[in-house]
Order: sequence, then structure tokens, then C-alpha cells
Amino acid sequence: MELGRLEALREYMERCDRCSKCKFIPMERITSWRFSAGCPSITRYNFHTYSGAGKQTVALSLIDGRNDEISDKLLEIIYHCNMCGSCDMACKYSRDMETFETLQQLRITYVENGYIFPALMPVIDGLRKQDNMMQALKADRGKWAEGLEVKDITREQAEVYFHAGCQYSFDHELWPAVKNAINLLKKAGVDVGIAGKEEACCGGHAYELGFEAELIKYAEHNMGLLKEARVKTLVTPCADGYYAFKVLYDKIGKKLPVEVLHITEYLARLVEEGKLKPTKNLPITVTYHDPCNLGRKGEPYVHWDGVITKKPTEPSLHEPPKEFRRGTYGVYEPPRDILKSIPGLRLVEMERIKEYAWCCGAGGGARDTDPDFAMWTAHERITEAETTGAEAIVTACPWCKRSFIDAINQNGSRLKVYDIVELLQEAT
Amino acid sequence: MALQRDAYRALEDIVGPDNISEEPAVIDSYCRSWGEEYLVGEGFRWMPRFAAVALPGNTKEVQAIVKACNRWNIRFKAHSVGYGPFMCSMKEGCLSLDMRRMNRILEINEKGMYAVIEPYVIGAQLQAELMKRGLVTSMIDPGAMTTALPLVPGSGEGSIENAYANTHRNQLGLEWVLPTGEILRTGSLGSGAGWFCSEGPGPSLRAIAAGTASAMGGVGIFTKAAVKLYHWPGPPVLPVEGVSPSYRLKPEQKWFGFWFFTVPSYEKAAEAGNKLGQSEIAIVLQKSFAWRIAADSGRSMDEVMKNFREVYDQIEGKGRVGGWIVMIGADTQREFRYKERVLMQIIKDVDGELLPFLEDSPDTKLSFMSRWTRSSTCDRECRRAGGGRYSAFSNIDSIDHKMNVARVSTDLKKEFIEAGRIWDDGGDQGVGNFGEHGRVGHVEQIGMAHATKEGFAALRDYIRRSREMMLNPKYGITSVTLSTSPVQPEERERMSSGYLYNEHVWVQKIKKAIDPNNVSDATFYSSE
Repeated sequence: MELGRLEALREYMERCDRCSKCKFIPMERITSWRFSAGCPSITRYNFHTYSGAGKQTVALSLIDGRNDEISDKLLEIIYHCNMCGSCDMACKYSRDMETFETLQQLRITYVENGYIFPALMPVIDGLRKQDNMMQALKADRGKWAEGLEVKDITREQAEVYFHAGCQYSFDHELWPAVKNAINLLKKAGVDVGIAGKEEACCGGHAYELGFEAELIKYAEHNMGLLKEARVKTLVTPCADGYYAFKVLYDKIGKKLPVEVLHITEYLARLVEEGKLKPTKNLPITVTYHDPCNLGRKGEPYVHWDGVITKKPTEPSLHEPPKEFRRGTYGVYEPPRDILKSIPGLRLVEMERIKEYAWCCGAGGGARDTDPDFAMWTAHERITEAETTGAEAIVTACPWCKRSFIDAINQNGSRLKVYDIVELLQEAT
Repeated sequence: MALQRDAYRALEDIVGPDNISEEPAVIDSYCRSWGEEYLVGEGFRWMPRFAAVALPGNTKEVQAIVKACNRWNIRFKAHSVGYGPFMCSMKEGCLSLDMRRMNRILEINEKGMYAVIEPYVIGAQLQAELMKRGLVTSMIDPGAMTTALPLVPGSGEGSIENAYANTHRNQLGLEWVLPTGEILRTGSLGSGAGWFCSEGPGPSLRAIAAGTASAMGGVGIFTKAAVKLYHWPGPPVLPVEGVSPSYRLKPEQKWFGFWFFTVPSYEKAAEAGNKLGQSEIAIVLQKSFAWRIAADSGRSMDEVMKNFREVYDQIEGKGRVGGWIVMIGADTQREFRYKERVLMQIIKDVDGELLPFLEDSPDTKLSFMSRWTRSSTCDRECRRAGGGRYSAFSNIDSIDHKMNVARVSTDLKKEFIEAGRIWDDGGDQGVGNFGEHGRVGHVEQIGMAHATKEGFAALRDYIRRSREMMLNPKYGITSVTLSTSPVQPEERERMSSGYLYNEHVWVQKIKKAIDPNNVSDATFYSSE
């Protein structure tokens, strides 16, 4: 088995001393016993193995040659995980580690060595054939925009490219959010275009599943599309897409030559500039769910190419100094700024927010690899949202929204679920 | 070494198939933590493999598992959130009991000022729930993510113990599944009088439960305990602001304060510590040094190294001794002003100097207050850069005694630094918490080295040399020394017979009496 990618992370794996902080939100942020957990995987499955620390030890065991049999159980451990990055953020509050990267490279290593979680095969086959993660027909991709008078960047030039993403493109129930996004952009006078059926997956979700080649392929495809269209800005309402365009493309050396913004960043900017004026009263109490890929994982990628020193009389240092991604610079305020700009709307916060938010359950392919776990995770979030007294949970990602809708349908709740764009449209 | 099939099935029937595993990947994740190569010995990169890992969900399941272990002659080793090789066995084929599912706060009795908890309740969870009720209790220094069950931690000391006592001393009623499977309830609980008292009627069992340095799972499994609570002068929710890794207390917390002052000598350090203890003004009374201040103020190890030289120059660089961290909390402004004035008078009396590095950075002070109250000073200080670490000399004694130990142990540590064998953290000068308003406490000398063959060899030598020094009756054997000694039985016996009244013999007798089938794994507790 080729283990070079994991071997490169050995130093960080060995630093893990099983302190268990990865299982919880940061200690100083705990305000109750009930909502003190950070990692859905260990919270659901309980064996230490499912935590960030446990998976690091599994990886270390692998590269130490102790555990070279890839059992179904091992794949299950690796894939019954939301890849939400909570473990990584909690660890890096006080440590210089790369917990999440180990989880990511474990998946890539298994895929590259031919070990693929069976439930993922149809998803990846669908991606390879139809350029989307929804096992839907490529030809149907642009249907969500039918009836909207919006430019097609494959035929006309526009300043802003709106990338709807796979989930929004094919999930009919979610179409109002993307339609509203286009309406708001047009209302603000933005020169916006879409790629219709020529839009392809960002590749980010596939990468999280361990399929790196797919990320590279779609990064190149999207780079070509943008180059040809000569747009200045890419805007996406999908947190997964944002993470891919902003973070992952940069990570693999394919940084897009355009400004990449999540729709909440762009709309917050338009509200601040007075180009969008939410004036209608919306008397509703809402709570906001930070999508992992927009929040803690959405902060810019920081390249580091150096060595870890081992001088006998000083601790290991990174030369040159390394800026660890700790979730500090995620997109936290723009969505809140939008909500606060809506007259009559009251924002109440959950206990776990921003860099230590609980995942919606859809991350890491869990809806395919472990649907019960994905629903349980979403239901936990709904329960937390209910305790705030809010009437609705608002998010900024189609995967989160789908998870919450399904969890409510399955378990029941008085909460309504909105994409933030829908509320802004209502108020504008 | 797998369990017999009928034994495994019996255990599976007790906890359910989802809560037991013999999958190699699962087991391996329980076989490594930190310190194996130097606390246990060369060649112990991984601890011996467990046969299986089980997750009991309540006392009844624990009891059934223990009885099954007696029936099939299976050794078991229970642990909760703890870390270190202490959670492992030295023998293959042992059953690991991860207490993670037993994580409930069962009662918070505001009137009786105690809380009843299960083993996997962590310090931060308990503290968060207590603060809502104007209450608080101590937490151990390895961190708020470790168990809040008072008897389980190795030493029981922590930053806020000055006001809220060493966690061992906060243990009240205890529910304990003995190695035979019987349930023992101690203190008032055993008399059906509730959880409020740890002692009697009859002889106290606290010492047997706690061991010399925690029983390390060798005397059965503690399934519930009551912990003593104290008044919390702060708000109901720890008022933290900022984004990770820069959390800090909100500045409007007017009646909390944090200071660090240096002193001209160890004698003055002792004088200051005693006066501070007697004045009963502080929540935190902690002997500290340059590395801790630098380490906790940096977001990364690279930043720490920048800060370290600046702080070092303000302490050791000026020929001064790293004195005391003092954190004060008060209910009213008047109370706070009084405590602040007392502190300033004591600083003046001992020729103390406030540390400019902290006085010039109110934000750093606010972040320290947040972390010293809730989190851990150990993480950034000695875990962040990886490598190995060993806390030498950390027995509990009086302030005067410990300042003496701080002085002589610094000389030993500097010898290792000058030889280029361990990291240069300035030589330490002793670091540790004092509890119960200065009456007891400890200082330790943390030796850190790379996770390399040479680094581990240096730490093993450092352990050996520090143990030799501790055999001098002037300094005293450490609890940590004993807890890591069973793997070298001869050495344990040498230390114990000379200086601890044959403690090892008594421990062996206790073990034999309460565990006739020797199923409760005694690694790190008793030599066999």
C-alpha cells in the first residue's frame, strides 16, 4: 500500500497524545453539558477510534505497519465521519497539529489504493458520467433557471459568474433560494451570468470522499470556463462549492484567477453599499447555522513549504513559521450582518456557533455512507436550534438545508428552514 | 490475543453489539497516548494490545462485565477521558473498558453543595452547569477535558485549587464496583444517608480508593461519585469573547484580576506564597516561570519562541525568580478592591515586581483569566510542540518545602539543558499550584525533549536522576514517580521500602484482599 501522503503527516500524528479535546467544542466555549460535544462521529459511535485523535492513531498504526488489513469496519470508521473539521479546530486551539488533514489523506490513501466505500461507487460513477454528485442528468442542470432572464456566460460576457452547485441545481425543493439569489443580484444591478447545463461540479465533495483526481479534473474544467468567460467574480450559494473554489483549488495549486465569494459575502456587501435595501418588516425570530465549509473550513488556504526543526535544545519549530488554519478567519459575520439588516427579524444564537458550530450531518458524504448517522447529526442541530426559542433555522448552504428539512420530516419539529437568501428576498 | 468466543458473546450480551469491539483498528486506537517510550521503557512505542474494548452504559453493566471477567479470568482495565500509558495494561489480552457512555451529571444539589457525576463527565461540562447555579469546583491541570470524577486523576491538582481544593479532597460519597463484582458505597452513601460525606461510619476507605498516586484502575471501577462544590463569584456563563485560538474574558468583568510577579529569591517566593495563602484572597495561587507565560500567550510555537526571550529577560535575565501567578475573583467591587490592595501590599513586602510583559497587555491577561479558569495551562506549555515530557519532583507539600525543591531541581534541569539533552525553557524554576489557600501544593520541573531516540533517552535519564534526588528525605518521593514505577518493581520496592514505609507491600495486600482473582489490571498501581 502506498502510504507516502500519510507518512508526510507522521510528525503531527505522533504529537497527538489523546487529550480528547477533539471530541468537544473548545473548553472555554462550553456553556452546557447537553451541547458540549463537537465531533458528531465520536458522539454517536463512542469508541475513541471515531474521534479525530482515534483516526490519527489509526493512521499511525497503518504507517507503522501494525494494521495493514483493510476491513469493512476500518472503512466504516473512516467514512462514518462528517469531515466537518470540528476536531481540527478544537485541537488547534492550543496545538500545532494537522488533525483534519490526516483524516482527508486517510480517505485519499484508501481510494488511491483501491479501497472504496461501496455506497460511494454510484455517486462517483454519476459524477464521472454526468458531472454532478446527485446522480442526475447533466442535461437537466440548468433547469432551475428556466424563466429567469439571466445571462449565459458560455455565450455572453458577465462580470459575475453565479455557480449554483450540484445540490441547488437538482433539488427542486431548494430552487427558490437560487432563483431568489439571481433576483437579488439583478435588483442590485449586478451583471450576473450562469453556465446553465455547462456548469459542472466543483469537485470539492468528491475530494472530501477521497477522490482527489476528480477535484483536479473539475478545477481545471472550471478554470477553463472562467478564463473563457472573462468574469471577474465567482459567486456561489453553496458552502461546499465555496470551500472548493476558495480553499481546495488553492491547496492543489489551481487557485482561480477571479475573486471567489459566497453569496452571503456578496449580498452583505450589496446591503452595506446600499444597493440592496431590506425595508419590509419580517417579524420572525431565527437562529443561524454556520455551515462547516463556509465557517471554520472556509478560511483561506495558507501554503507552507518548509521543514520542522529538531534542534536538541528547542522545541520543534516550523521554518519558515507556519500559519496553521485554525478556523479563525471563516465567513462568520456576513450572514449575520444580512440577518441583522432585516427589519423586525431577531437573531438568537445557538450554543455552538461560528468556528465551533455543530455540523448539519451532510458533510463528508455521510448521507451516502451512513444515512442514519447523517440524520442523527442533523436532528441534534435541530434540537439545539429549538432550545433558542427561534421559529426558524437559517443557513447558507443547500446541503445543510436539505439535511435539516429531512431531519424535520423524519423526527418532526416546529422549526421552519430557510436559506438566508430567501429571507433577504422577502425583506427587499 | 482474542477472548474466548463464549466470553465475548457474554460481554456482547451485556453491553450490546454496538458497544464492544475486537476490530484491530479500534483496539490500536487505545494502545497509544503519550510517554510510552520513557514512562514505561524503551521499545514501548505502542502498549500491549487489548483483546477487546467495551463501552458499559451504567453501573449494572459494569457489574455484569466484572462478574463475567471473574468467570472467564479476563483482566480488565477501565479508564475515562484520561490519557497517558496509565489507561493501558502491560499485558496483552486485557479487556479495555472505556467509560465514555457513563457521562451523566446525575444531580446538582445546591443546598448540600455537591454534585453527583459519572466517570466521563469532564471538568468543563460540570463547571458550565455549576456556574449557572453560582457554584464551582476544582479541575485538574491537565485540562477541563479530563474527568471530573475526583478520585480518578493521578494527582488531583489544578489551577483553581487554591480556593476550591485539590480534586481528591473534594470527593464525597462514592459508588464503586469492586473487582469481585460487588458494589461498595462509601461514606454517608453507604449508610443510606445520601452523598454528602466521604467518611464513615467506620474506617475511611478514601485512601484505598485513591491509592498513593491514584489506583490507576487496579482496585475495580468507580461508577459514580459526589464532588464538593464551592461558591462561584462570577457570572452564570463564563463570559468569553473572540475567535479561536484567541479567546479571552470580556473586559467588563471588573471584579476579576490576574497578575504575575517576580521575586528576588526562592526565600522571598516562599514568603510571598505563605502570605498570599494566609490572606485567602486568591482563586489561583500558582508558582510559575517564563516558559508558561510565553507559551500561553502565543498562538503557535513560533510565536511562543518570540515571546519566550522577552519574558525570560524580564525574569531570569534580571536574576529574579519566577514568582506567583495570582487570580482574584470577588462578588463586589469593594471586596475586589480589598483583595487587590492586599495583593499589592504583599508584592511590596517581598520586593516583588509585576511582569511588564503582562502588565502591558490587558488582552493577554484576559485570555489567561479565561484559560486558567476553564481550560488548561498544560496544553500550550508542554503539549503543543509534541515530543516527550516528564514532570519531575511533583509531590505535594508545604510552600517552604516546595520552594526549596524548586531551587535544587532547577539545578538538575539546567544540567540537562546545558548538556543539550532537553529543551531550553529557561530552566523552569519550578511550576505548580498551591491549594486550600496555600496550605499544600506542589512544584514540578517539566523536562521536554524531542520524540526521537536521543530525546527519549534523555528523558529516561532525567527521570532516573530526579528519582535519585527524590530519595533524599529532604525532598520526598513523588506520587508520579510511584505511579510509573510498577513496571520496574525492584525500583518501586527500593523507593517504597526506604522512604514510604513499605507502601508497596501494603498496596499488594490490599490488592489481594479486594481482588482475589486478580482481574482488575494493576499496571501502574501495584507490582505483582
